[in-house]
Amino acid sequence: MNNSYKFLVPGSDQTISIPIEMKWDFLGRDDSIEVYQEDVIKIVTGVPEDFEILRFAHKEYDFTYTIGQTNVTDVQTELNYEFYFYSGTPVDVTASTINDWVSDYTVEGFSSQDLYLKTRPFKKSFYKLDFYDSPDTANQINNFTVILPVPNGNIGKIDVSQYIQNVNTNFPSFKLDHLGIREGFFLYWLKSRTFVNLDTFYMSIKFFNAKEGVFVRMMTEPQSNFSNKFVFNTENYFFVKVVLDYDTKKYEIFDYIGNRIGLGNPIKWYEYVNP
Amino acid sequence: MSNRIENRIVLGSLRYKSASNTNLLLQVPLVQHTKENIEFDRTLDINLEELYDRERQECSIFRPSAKLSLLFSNQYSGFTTYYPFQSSLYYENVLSLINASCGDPALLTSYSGFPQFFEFDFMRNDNYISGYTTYDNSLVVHKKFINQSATTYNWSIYLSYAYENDPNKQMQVFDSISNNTINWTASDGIPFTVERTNVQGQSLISFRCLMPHGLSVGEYVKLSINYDGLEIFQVQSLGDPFFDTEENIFNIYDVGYTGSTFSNGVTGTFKRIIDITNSADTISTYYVRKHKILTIEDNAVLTKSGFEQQIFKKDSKLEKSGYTVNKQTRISVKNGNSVYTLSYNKDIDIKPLRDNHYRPLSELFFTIVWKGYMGWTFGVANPIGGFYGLKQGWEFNIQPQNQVTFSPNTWWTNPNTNSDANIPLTSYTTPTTPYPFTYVTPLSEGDVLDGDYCEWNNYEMIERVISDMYHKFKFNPFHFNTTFTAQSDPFGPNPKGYYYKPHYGLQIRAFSDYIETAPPEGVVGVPSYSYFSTTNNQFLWRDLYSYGYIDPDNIGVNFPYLNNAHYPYREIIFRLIGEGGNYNNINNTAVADPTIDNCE
Repeated sequence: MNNSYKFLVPGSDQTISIPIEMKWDFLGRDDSIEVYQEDVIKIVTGVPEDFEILRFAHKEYDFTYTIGQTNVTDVQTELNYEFYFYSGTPVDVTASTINDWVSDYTVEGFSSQDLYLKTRPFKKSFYKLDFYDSPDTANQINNFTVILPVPNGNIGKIDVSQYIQNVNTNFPSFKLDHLGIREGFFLYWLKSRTFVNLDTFYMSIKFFNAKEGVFVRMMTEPQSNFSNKFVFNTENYFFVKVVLDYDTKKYEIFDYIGNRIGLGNPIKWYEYVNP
Repeated sequence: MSNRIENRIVLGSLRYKSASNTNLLLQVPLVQHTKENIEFDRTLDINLEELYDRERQECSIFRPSAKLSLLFSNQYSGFTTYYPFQSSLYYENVLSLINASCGDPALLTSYSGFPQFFEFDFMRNDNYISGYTTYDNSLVVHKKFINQSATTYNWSIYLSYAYENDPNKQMQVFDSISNNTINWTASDGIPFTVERTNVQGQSLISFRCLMPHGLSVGEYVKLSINYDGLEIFQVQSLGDPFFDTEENIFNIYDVGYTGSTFSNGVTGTFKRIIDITNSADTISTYYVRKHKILTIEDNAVLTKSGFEQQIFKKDSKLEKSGYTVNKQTRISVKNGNSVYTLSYNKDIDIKPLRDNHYRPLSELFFTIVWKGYMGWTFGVANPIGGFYGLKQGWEFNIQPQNQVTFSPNTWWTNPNTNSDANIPLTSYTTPTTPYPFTYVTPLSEGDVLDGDYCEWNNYEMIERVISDMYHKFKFNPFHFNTTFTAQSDPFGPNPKGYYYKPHYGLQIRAFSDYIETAPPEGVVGVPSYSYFSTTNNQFLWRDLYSYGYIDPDNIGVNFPYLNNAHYPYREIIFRLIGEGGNYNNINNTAVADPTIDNCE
């Protein structure tokens, strides 16, 4: 602001009105500081975040089956998984066929006695379903995990001895629904979408073999289906896409092509064999 | 700028004699006052406890949850000719079934027994019964079971709040001592029957009420009957010489009233007055609470409560394939003992809600309504159209009309429109029977249900529940005939059935134990829900306690606050009560397998 005025001698009296406009720089600053203070405290202490979770159920679908000669269509929600392990024959997986993957724990090193007696290593084995934000294995975050314990698997009979009748044991397949085995059927994810806004996940599955203490990676196609057994698109075959619907509180599972899977027929997973 | 006086600049030669004109330079002083920001004022101690409390008090989001235990004795057996229902019964005529299957089929007149426990449970698990919930080989099925609906086949569970009062509800109570039936309007007050007594030489006029009167000695009652125009009397004592009658009997001095006003058996109603000198403010009002539904059926998430079970044992037996109608071996369950956990996938924001006295909401309700989707209930046509549906009444209506036969109170007769719950029914048919099946249509958000019968006094500012609301459902006699065990005509106007209480309160805030008062002027902070007493010329209200504060009288709420939401919780024992039901009589009536039958 120019506050120096020079007046030259005129011939008569002169008056001058000096408009001195000032903007009061501190006007309202106290209020601003109060607001700023609130902001700072929020940054320092944080604001209440909502980490509550919602339960998502497998979305219903129409399933047609046959009774006698008649086709019947029902609304179902059942979700089935079937797991196939590499039998080890042939040793070189490059010469394998699809029949070399079997839905049988014995090829994973469990004896018939383990299965029949449900030994601790058998009972403690489990499938680990990991839900990532991306199928890109180089750049992904595992957001949550669901465990399918082996003892929750479907019951079937196996032959353990020629001297006794076939006995019940758990098979590497799961039937999950609102009733019966529910563990793994419901997915639980954040209710509020302000903290992490994710409704699409990419699920991969590993089998933990408690007898050998190793994880076995599973994929959606047997390697025998590939011309080059070890060169394939991992995003397509190590993951399936799971989409949550916040309106209906339900989820759907899709393959890499975009087709919904798990509609009555089991979702099959095959052991990945390293080169 | 501090200097706001106008300056005049004078020509130099005019300032004094011999002064010469000179150039002038004016220094304009720009004076300003500044206020330093003192560091101390900008320093704030952050108290996490205070911060948590502030956030907690500001939060209006609620996530209610509950543990539900179904207490139930399966007490009505019946017979059915409907094949799918026959496939599902807990049979009671096992010997005749065996005789029929191995001997003379003519001996088998019908399949009779109890509807299994899952017909009443919160979560059905009968997704396997051939001919009933799954197709049999002939493609017969009653209703194909959909697993995701397992928790909504039998009951609909909602959240609601009391939002309005209905003082005009027509009510009725049966006095089994005097055999009088008293009809009144809710706003009339509490009904009574007069009995003249003499206690320890003191003549009294006793007023026997069929519900708790809520009076204290020294208070006043305004009667619907009058003695020479006098209708307000002071309560002299409570109860009679018998034990535990204080809540239902009050007495006034008999100073020699003549005539028939206070003759034995006279009935009427009364209203409570706390202070006779201020009866305008201290007289109670009476009404039926109305509930508004806040959630839909799918908002409720019901799961089994881990491995928890009730103390009553499960009552089940093996039904062998030889005599089951669908030739399948199964285990049938008459009484169960399951416990469930209830939560909601919808948050409740109470900020915009006001209760039935225009106060901030202090109570939510779990509202449980019978649905009966499988069609075992209702089904009797109403002459004016549709079907007779869910009935409603209050606890005092449950008392049987006949204490020996437990015949239902006449309040529950089908044609009595005053006892209609007014919840629509939906019907469907199946190919194998001409008779329709009916169930209660699920409610929507904003639907309104009647609730408890209550008293409110502006001077006390407390709502007292006089009598809880109950619902009743009856079996569909065309598909399940209970003639023998219910000992009443299932096709008649008033068959037996099951009662349950639909509304379970969940306190989410507490009003203070004391009453605040303030003059009409010069006081700030008078809440909008306060009552203005014209007699005392002042406002009256009860403060809302903070979340987490419990006063010395144990009034207050303190439930978890996290995720920026409150998590109130309560345990509910949900009783499904048969006519004359008594839980002391729960017994095991399972029929043991015979050791000798016609096959041997």
